[in-house]
Amino acid sequence: MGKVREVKRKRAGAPSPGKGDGLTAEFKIGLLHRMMEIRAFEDKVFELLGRNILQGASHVYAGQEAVAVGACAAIGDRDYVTSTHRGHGHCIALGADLKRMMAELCGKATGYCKGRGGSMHIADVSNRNLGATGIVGGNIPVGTGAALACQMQKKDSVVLCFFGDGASNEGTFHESLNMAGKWKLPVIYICENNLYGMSVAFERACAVNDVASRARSYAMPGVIVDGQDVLAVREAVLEMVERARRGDGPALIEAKTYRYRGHSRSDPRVYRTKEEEAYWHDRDPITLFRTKLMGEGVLTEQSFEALQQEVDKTLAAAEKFAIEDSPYPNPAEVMDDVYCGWVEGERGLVRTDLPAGQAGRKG
Amino acid sequence: MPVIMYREAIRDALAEEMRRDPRVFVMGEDVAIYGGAYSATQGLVQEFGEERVRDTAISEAAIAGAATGAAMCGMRPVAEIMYVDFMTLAMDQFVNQAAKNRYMFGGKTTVPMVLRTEGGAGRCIAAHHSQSLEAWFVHAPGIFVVMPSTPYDAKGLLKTCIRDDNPILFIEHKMLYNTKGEVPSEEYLIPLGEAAVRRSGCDVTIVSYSRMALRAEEAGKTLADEGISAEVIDLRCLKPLDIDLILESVKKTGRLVLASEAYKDGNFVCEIATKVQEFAFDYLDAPIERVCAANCPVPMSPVLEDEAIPRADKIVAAAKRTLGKA
Amino acid sequence: MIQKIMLPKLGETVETSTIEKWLKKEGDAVAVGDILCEITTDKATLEVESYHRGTLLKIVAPTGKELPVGTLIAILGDPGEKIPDEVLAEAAAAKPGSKSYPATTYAAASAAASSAAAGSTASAAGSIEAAPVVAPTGPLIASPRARRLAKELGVAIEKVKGTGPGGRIVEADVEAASKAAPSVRATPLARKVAAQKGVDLATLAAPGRKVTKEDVLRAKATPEAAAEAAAQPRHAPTPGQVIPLSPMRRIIAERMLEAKRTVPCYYLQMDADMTDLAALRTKLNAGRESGKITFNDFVLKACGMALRAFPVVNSRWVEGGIERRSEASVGLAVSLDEGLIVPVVRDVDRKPLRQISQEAADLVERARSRKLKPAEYQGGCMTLTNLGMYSIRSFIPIINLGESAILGLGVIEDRVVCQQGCMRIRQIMTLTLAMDHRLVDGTVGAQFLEMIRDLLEAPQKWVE
Repeated sequence: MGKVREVKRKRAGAPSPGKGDGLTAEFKIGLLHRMMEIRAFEDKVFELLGRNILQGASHVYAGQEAVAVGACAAIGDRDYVTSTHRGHGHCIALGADLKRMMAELCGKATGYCKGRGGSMHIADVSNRNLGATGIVGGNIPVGTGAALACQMQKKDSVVLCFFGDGASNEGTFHESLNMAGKWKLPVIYICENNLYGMSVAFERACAVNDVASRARSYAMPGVIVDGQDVLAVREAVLEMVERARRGDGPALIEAKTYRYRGHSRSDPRVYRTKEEEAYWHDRDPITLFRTKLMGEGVLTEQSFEALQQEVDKTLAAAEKFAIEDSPYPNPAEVMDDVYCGWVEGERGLVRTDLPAGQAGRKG
Repeated sequence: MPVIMYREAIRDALAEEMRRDPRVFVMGEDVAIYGGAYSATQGLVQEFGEERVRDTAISEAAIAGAATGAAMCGMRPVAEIMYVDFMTLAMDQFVNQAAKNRYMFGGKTTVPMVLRTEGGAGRCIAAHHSQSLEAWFVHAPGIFVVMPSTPYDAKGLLKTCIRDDNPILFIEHKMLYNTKGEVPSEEYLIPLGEAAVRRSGCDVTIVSYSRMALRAEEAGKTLADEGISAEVIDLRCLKPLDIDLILESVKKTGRLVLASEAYKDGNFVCEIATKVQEFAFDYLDAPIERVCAANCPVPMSPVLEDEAIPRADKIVAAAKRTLGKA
Repeated sequence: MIQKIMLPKLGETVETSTIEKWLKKEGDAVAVGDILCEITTDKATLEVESYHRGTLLKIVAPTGKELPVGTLIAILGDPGEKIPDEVLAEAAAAKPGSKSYPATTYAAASAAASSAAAGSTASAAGSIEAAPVVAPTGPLIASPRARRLAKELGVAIEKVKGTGPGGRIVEADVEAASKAAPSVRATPLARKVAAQKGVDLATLAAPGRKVTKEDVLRAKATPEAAAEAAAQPRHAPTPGQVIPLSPMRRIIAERMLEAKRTVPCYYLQMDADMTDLAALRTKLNAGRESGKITFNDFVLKACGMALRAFPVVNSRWVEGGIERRSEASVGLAVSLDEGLIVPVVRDVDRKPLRQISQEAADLVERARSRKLKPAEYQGGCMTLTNLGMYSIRSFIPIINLGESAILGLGVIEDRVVCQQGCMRIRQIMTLTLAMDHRLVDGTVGAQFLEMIRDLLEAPQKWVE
């Protein structure tokens, strides 16, 4: 404790996006807008947790916005994402409706998962988000399998598989990267190294300094990128995505980033110093990108203020939709969708495709 | 009618389904070149190629999890975990991810995968290669558990499982792979949730599954020689469970013996006993008997293994106890 | 604008917190994100940040005191803004916040679902007979199956000797007790009613005939009168005496003789698996004390449907030819003390089962009390006659003059049958159909009977 973990901006292979980055102003402002939405959503979530309107656990993504937004800006409509317990950022970066996300966190019937999954299991399968999981590292094999399907179906789709520094020490990380490396699966593993696995600092848990250095063990390129720089993240991911689409296999990208709040709402963050937190607040990805865009003349104070108001409006609408306008799920539906084609009957499971009274075997 | 081995029935089911549906593929340890630890996938890689019959590294979590992800993205994987004892390494992926994703995501995905594995004792390979762990998986909402005892059942049920959209654990038995039985060459499917009456009787009902079902039939024959008419039922499918058939039988006989190769405590058959006393209480003429494996890790020495795992004579004794005959 | 600052819940399991230190004082300006105070929970010291901008108008909660989560701790507003009285009152009372679920209502379906569930368990419970329990001195150790059987057979279980483990009374013991007791010949219905009403059948036993339900009911009313009546057998003539024919007896005799002499009948026999129908009947009658649907009601309807499908059968032999009937009407043979009468249920294929049941019950009742009008016992196309309650397995009935067929029903009993290659025990009833060969040839008659059998074996297809 007491040390500031300054990260050198060494990036292997990703070119520096300067003024001539070939991106339109509209696109870049879109990225900023998305990051601001994530920040506002997460701040709102933290507030609602404190007011006890949100039940259960929620792990906020504030500080890591550039990673989700930058990475998801590098993929298209036919690609997939698997997410983590700290997954609101990925979901929003894919263009999720904040109203339906907030409703899901409130356990309402109008949420993405009909109130069944909540914050840690939010998914939007039809929009490429194969879901978040409450198990650290639990999504890594699933993302690997999604990439296997893409390869076998001969689509040139890719999978972005997000996880944290903590997950990189789970068995599933190693098994999955080995399988992907051997079979050259089109999956980009994106490690969001926010320097802490709950309260345990990365340097106390991991035998190596950089997660990316593990890539070599699994025959894939490893890239370290500044996770607070949204364009740098996008560049790094895009390069590896294109490589994977060509059939050249997976990659491991480590984005060095920081989580502004605690692991969850009850975390007083005694394991971090104020100095360290201040250092990383100075490197707020939204502030950094805003400054850059203003410097490029793409953004003004007024247009930024307008964006902020837009975001505030969206959040207010989401809060109202979720809390006031959305009903809770009907308790009678608690057993729906456990299985396909079977429901719980009086004495056990019965098939739904047979008329009542004929369910089950009859001689 | 052709007579083939249990493992050939499984292989035939896999081959037929892979010919029928290009989304079906097989992956696991030693399934391709070696043809499977118990030869259940022999010949498949020669017909379908390495793309669809994949040898994996020894990575149970990745095997189960990759099958989950592939299933969610339009494939129909049949993954193999070589021993049910190794399912512990795949538990999170199968029980937390595969089993729950459909429900947690509001019904907006399906996970149409089959995890084939095998369990059971009889080869003196001891505690880590001889277990029967089905109770753990019946306990997880979202997955089905199928345990066939004959080649006919293995083929018909495996085909059904592959075509079903739920994540299913298909548990074979290592001692059944070389058993033989009649299997039609024409296509047939066995629906899930249907048990089979192996022997009709009126004095006592004996319910079991997997290899115990064969021992239960033996017990039925022994009992018949002693003038006791046993009705022997083979569950075939643990979840969904054919509870109505069992209830109908117990209402007729009034006596029930449950036989299972899993450890006695928390055995799946306890669930059946509870349902029977719940729905057929007034038909019971004697307490329900359980014949299960001893509550100890499966021992290696043949003498000890034989003592720990239920034998037919123990089923016979239990049946007699229900009739008040010692 | 007034903003109430509540004590936040910083942790899923946190119920209370203590304010350690205020970092702002009354009158200070507060920006979004400023820390207002530090609090301790059971786990840690945490900061409370402000989500609103304004001036800290009033600090309400003291430091050092453990407060429930949601308590009002401070009030924010514009500089100099007046705090409304109710907010001040709340501050004074320091009431903890209540759980803030919006009062949304669940869909009405949930209420319906729970009441439906309650209904089905109630009906399931209702089907278990609440028989009066004879209190023994100690707990009676008998298996549930033995208890149930004892009730069915009218055996007093506390008198049975148990031979099961630990002296438990088991099914076999009850069966043995039932056989050993001097067997009282009684109809199944009489046994059931006797068990329900606690009447000892042995007191009603009479030579030459079975105890009937009426006997039991009479016994319940006046035991002495019943015993006396029972002791006298009915229909006991003095030897050598010629009893004149009653009108009914003469008519029956004449018509039966003519039917036997003039109608060329053939007879078909078929077994029907009544298991599903019995279950359906039980289900339909669940919870009903009266107005129960009988087996005959089902057969009446099935006959009607078959008559409609086979116009050849739905005909009669008349002078000059064969007359087709316009409606399908079936008579039900009712036994009386002095003879037999056959009230007719008209148009029976077009009526729902419950209506048939009500009509038939009404007709039978009025038949027994001699209140039938002639139109009600004439004009049927075929007759249904049932001797199953006397354990008759099958019999060859005599056709009613003027009708094309008569169907005799035997007892519904458990029999071993072969289905799908397995031995099963099912409830089987033998049907015997007598057909007038002038009207209906053998193959048509067989198909007609087959249809009736098929209908009875799959009632769920046509019962509403």
